Amino acid sequence: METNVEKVKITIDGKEVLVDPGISILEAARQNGIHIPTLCHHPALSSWGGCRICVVEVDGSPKLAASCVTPVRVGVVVVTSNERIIESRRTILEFLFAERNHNCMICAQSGDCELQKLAYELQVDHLTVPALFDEFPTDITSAYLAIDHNRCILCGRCVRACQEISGARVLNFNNRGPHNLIGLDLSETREASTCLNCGVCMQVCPTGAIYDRYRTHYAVKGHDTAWQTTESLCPQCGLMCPAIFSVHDNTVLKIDGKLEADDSRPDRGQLCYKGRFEVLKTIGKRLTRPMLRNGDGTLAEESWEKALDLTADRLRAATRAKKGAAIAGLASSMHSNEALVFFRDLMGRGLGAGCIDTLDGAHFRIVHRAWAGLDMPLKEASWKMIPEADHILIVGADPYQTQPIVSSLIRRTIFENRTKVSVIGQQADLFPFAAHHLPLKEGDASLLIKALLDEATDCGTDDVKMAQAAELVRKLCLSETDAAVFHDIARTVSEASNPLFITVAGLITAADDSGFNSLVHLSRLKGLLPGSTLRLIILKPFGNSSGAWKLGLASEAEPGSKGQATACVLFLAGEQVSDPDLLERLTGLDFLVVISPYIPESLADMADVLIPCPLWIEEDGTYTSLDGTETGYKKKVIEPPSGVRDSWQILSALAERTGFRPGFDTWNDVCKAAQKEMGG
Amino acid sequence: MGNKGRKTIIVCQGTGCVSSGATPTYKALEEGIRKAGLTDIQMKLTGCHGFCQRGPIVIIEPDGVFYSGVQEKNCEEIVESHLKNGQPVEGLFYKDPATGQPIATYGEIPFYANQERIVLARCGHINPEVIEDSIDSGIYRAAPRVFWEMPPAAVIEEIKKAGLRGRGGAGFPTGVKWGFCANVEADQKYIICNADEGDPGAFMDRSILEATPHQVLEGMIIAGYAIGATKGYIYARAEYPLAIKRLGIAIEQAREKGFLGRRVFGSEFDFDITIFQGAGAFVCGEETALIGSIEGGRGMPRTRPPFPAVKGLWGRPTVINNVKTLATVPEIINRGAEWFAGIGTEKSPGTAVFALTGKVANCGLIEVPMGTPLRKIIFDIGGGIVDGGRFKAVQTGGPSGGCLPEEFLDTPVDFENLAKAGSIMGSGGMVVMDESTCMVDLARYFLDFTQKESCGKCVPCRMGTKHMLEILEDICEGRGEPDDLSKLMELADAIKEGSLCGLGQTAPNPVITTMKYFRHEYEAHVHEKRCPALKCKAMLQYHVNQDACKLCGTCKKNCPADAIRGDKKKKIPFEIDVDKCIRCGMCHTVCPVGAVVKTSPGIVNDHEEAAEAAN
Repeated sequence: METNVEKVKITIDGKEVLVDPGISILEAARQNGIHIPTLCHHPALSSWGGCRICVVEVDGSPKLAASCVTPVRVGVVVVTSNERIIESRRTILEFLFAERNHNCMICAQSGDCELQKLAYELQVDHLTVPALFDEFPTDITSAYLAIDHNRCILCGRCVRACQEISGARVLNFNNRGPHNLIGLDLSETREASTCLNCGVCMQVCPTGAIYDRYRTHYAVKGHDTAWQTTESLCPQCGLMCPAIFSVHDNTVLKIDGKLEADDSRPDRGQLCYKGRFEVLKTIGKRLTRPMLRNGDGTLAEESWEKALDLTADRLRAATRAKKGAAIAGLASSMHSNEALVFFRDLMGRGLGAGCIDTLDGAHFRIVHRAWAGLDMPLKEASWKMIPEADHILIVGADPYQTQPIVSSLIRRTIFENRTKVSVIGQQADLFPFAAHHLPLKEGDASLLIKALLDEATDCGTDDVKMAQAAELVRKLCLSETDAAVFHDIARTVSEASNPLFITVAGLITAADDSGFNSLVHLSRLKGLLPGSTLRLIILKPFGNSSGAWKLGLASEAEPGSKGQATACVLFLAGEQVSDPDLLERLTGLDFLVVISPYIPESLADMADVLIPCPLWIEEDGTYTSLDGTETGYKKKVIEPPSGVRDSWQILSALAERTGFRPGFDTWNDVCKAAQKEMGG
Repeated sequence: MGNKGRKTIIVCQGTGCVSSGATPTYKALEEGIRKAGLTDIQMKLTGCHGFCQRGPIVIIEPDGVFYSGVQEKNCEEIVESHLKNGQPVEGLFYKDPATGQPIATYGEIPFYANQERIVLARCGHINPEVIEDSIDSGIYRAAPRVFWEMPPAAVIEEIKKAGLRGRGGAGFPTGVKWGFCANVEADQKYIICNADEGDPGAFMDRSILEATPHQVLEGMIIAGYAIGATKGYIYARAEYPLAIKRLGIAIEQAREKGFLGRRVFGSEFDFDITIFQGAGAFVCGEETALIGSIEGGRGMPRTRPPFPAVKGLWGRPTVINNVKTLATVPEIINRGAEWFAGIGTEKSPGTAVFALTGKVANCGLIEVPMGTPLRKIIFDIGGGIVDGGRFKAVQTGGPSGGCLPEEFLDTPVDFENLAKAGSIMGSGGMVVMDESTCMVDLARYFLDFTQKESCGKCVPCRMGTKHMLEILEDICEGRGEPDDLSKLMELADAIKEGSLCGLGQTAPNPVITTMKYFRHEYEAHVHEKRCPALKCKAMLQYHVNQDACKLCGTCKKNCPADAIRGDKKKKIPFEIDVDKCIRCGMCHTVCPVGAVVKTSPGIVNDHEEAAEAAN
C-alpha cells in the first residue's frame, strides 16, 4: 500500500527511520529490525500493555512507556535498551518468577516457553525478591488441554484470544491484584464450563500454564529448535484452515493455527478442536502390511505383490462374470482430489464399475436434486461471507460438530456486528447468543420450512398465503412460546436485506429432503449474492466432500439401482465404518477389498483383502473448499509407517494389474489431471 | 429559602446523620409539631450539612439556630421550648471545644464561619428530593442561559477562562479537556460524571449527590451541550444507595420538567442521563477502567493515548468529570469566569472540598478557597486535635497521596504546593493524625488497600505492591531487616516507573512520603524493634504500674490469655507475663485507674551491637 499516507519520521536508538503513522513503537522497532522483548503482546491479538516487559524510554521521560501500546509520534525519540530499561525488565521478570511456581524442570512446556527464553535473554539467574507464591489449582478436567495456574503469568493472551479470535468468551480474569486467576465462566472447571476446546488459548499461552494433553513431555519432544515445522492446511472439514505442524522424529507434536496471518481469512487463522486435537487421535490399529483372508477365515499379513495380484484377479473375474453392475467403488470424501480422480477412473473406465459412490453420497443426492430444480445454475455461498450477513438462519445444521470454525465465526459476528442469528434445530454452543431458538422435530422439518417460506416471503402482504402459513403453523402444534419465536424468525428473515442460510443436506435424516428443497427455495427468493451465488451455505460431512462431489465420485442414482454388485472396493481415509446401512450393503459380497490406513474393525469379518494406505498427514494432495470454489494444497507432514505405499501408487499398481491405462504415469500427472478437472 | 417569618425545621438526612439516628428524629419532630398543633411550621429534610460528627443536625430557620446530636428523646424539648415558647434549647447547642461556650447559630460556629462554600453552598439547605426547592435556590438558572445566549465554544471558553481544574485529583484543566472532545467529529459523544469515590474516608462526592443532585445534573447538561454529547452517564458506586436513589428521583423530576430528554429547556438540544452503578472496584475511578466497566467488561485500565476525549465510551469521544467539577460549572456560568478566577490561587482557582476526618475535633465536609493553609483547615475549621492530642501528620489524596508532617502546616493547599511536598490534592480526602498513629502502620494500611484494589493487569502494580506490603508487614511485625528500607525505595521506584495507570504509579506515595518525613519511625521499627507510636502490636509490652494499681483484679479477670498473675484477696501484686501476653490490650482498656502501662521498649539487635563493638 504505497499510498499517499504520510510517513512519520522517528528516532529509534539513534537511528532515524520513516514509519507509518498510527503504528506502535514496538511495530516500528520490529519493522526496522530492532528487537524489543515482549510477553503479553501477540501480533494476532489486540495490544494489552500489561506485562511491561516491552518498556522503552520515550523522549527521555522519567516514566517508561510500554512500546506495544504507545503509538509513534512525529519526531519522537525512542531508546529501546539501556541500563535503566534492562533493569526495569529484569525487575518485572523477577516479579513474575517470584509470583508463581515456575519450575522449568517439571514443566511440559520447557524448551518452548517465552518466559524461559526471556530469562535467558535478560540473563536473570537469581531472584532479588522473595518468592511469594501459594499453591494454585491445576485443572486437568479436559481431555484436550490442562490449565496449571502455577505457571500462569496473567498476561491475558488467552483471555483476549478466547474473545477476539474464537469468540467463545469463556476465559476471563477472576479476583483482583495478586489474587488474579484466569477463570472459565464463573470459576467453573474446564469440563463444566462452556469452553469449546478450540485450544487457541493454548496456542497463544507464552508459558506452560495452558498445555496440550496430547503432547509429550520435553524429555521426549526435545527443544523446539530441534523440530521441523511444515506449513500446510487442515483438510478436516472443507474450510482448509492454514495449519502449522511441528514434527520431531516423524511424530506430530502439535498443530498450530496460523495466527500471524493478516485478516485475509475472517477466522483469523484459528484452528478448532478437530484440527488441533482430534486429528492426533488414533482410532484403531494401523495397517502396515496388506492382509489376505486365509482358508481358515482369518486375516493374515501377506506381501504387497500377492495382495495386489489377488485383488486384480478377483476384480477382473467379477467384471467378467457379471458385466457392468458387478463392481462397486466406494470412497471416503476425506481423500484428496488426486486420489479420488485416480480411484474414479480406475473403477469407472478401468473396471466398468456399476456404481461409484462416496460415503456421503446420500447428502450429495439431496443437494443434487434440489439444484436440478433451480431455474439457473447457482453456486453455494462461502462461509467467509458470514461476517457480512445481517441475519443468519441456521436450519438443522450443527456447525460446531461439522465445521467448528463456522460456529466460531457466527459467535463473533453476533458480538462484533450485532448480527441476529436464528437457530432451528439443536445447537448447544450458540444457545446463549442466538436471538431465536426453535426445536426441529423429526417429521416436522419439511412443514416448518414450508411455513417459514410462506410467512417470510409474503409477510403481511398476501392474505391467502398468510392464511396458508397460519394453517401450516397450526399443523406443527408449536407451543405458544415457540409459535411466537417462529413468527419472529419469519419477520426477521423477511426484513433482512443480506441474510445467509446455513444448513445441511438432510435436515434430520438423510432421506428427508423436502425441507432442504424449501430452504433452497427460500434463500433463492431472498435474492442472489454477486456471481450467481445462492445465500446458502451447505455444511458437508467430510473434509473434501465438495471435491468428491464435483469430481463425480458421488452417485446421482441411488446405489444398487443398477443391480446388486458382487465385488466392492472400499477406499477409506482413516475412518471406521459404523453406518448400519453401509454395513448391510457390504455384507454378502463375493469380494470386498478395503484400502485403509487403519484395520477396519467393523469390516474385519467381511473383508477379503486389506491394503494399507497413508493417512492424510502422510501424503500430498489437493482439497476443495466447502463451497467448491477454492482448491488448496495439503503437504505431506510426516512419513507413512514403513512399508505403506502412497495411495496413487496403490491405485496405479491395481490399474497395471487389471490392464487399465489411466494416463497417469507419475504423481505429477495425477496432480495435473485433478487440477484440470477442478478448474484451478 | 423558606417563607419569611415562618419557621422551617431542617433535619439533615445525609448518610452521616441518618446513621446517627436522623430518621427517628425527623419523625419525632413531625409528631411533636402535630401534637402541639403548630401549623405555621414547615418540616424539611435536606442533604448533608457537612458537620457529620455532630449529627443528627437540626436547624431552625430563619434564625439559623443550630442543634447538634439531636436524638429522638430531645425532640419533645425542642418542640415545647423552642417552637412553642420561642426559647431555644441551649443544652443542644454546639459547644466550642476550646472554650466550652455554647454557640447558638451555625453562622457563628468556626467550622462553618471559616469556610467558603460554592459547591456546597446549598448542601443542607434544600430538599434534594424536591426539584422546586433546587430551582428556588438558583439551580437550573445557568443551563437555559447557556442554551439561549452562549454557543458551545463560548461555554468552553468561559470554563477555560475561569481556570477550573478537574476536582477528581489530577487537576487537568476542565475547559481544555472539553475543548479536545468538542473538536473531535463523531456521530455520538458522551459525558460521564465520575462518582466512583473510593478513597478510604472520603465522602465529598457522595454528600454532594445526596444533598444537591440537581446541581450535578445541571453541570452535566452544560458540559454535554459544550462538547456536543447527547448522552450522559453517572458512574456511581453501588455502595452509595442513598445517592443513587436521590439521583434517580432528580433525573425523573428533571425529565418531567423538560430539563432532560428531547429538546431540553425548549432548545434544539437533546440530552439524557443514565445512572450506572459500579460494582465497587477502586480502580474503576480511573477513567479508562470506568469506561470498560460501563461497556460491560471487567474494569481494567488501558494505556492512553487514545484519550477518552478522542476515543472513549463505545469508542466515541467522551469527557469524564468528577462530581465536584461538574457541580462547580453552573456557578461559573452564573457568576462569570472572573469571579471564579478571583477565588483561590492563580494556578488553582476556586475552592477545594475536603472530607476532613481522623483525629480532628470537627470531622466533616468542608469547602475552602484554594490556597488556604493546612493549619487553618485543621485547627480553625477542624477545631484542632481531638482530646488535646498533638498533631503529627495530615494525609491527603487517599491511597495515592502522601503524609505531610507539622512543618507543612502553613503550606497553602493547592495542586502545586501539595505535589511539591510529595503528596497530591486528590479528590478531597484529608485524614489528620495525632501521635498515636504509627506512620509505618499507616503506610502498610494504604499499601494493603492498593494491593487489594490493584486490578492485576500490569506486573509492577500487581506484584510490586505485594512485595512492598510484605516488607511493611515484616517491619510492623518486628521482623524488619536493615536493608528493607532501601528495598522499599527500590520497589517504589520500579512501581512508579513501570505501572500502567495512576493507581500503580501513585501506590508507593504513602510509603515514599512517610519514609521521607518519618524515617526515624521506620528506623526505630527496623533497628530497635520499637514502635514509637505504640501501635504495632508485635513490639508492644504491657506492665502493671504497681504504684498506681489498686489491686482490683479487673485486668486479670479480663485477660483472655491468662497472662496476668496476682491475687486480689491475698494482696499479691498483679504482674503481666510477657511470654504469655498476646498484646490484645484488654488489660490496658479495662484498668479503671490507668495502671496498666503500654510501652515499646525495643529489642537491641545482638548482631548490630556486636558490629558496633567491633568498630
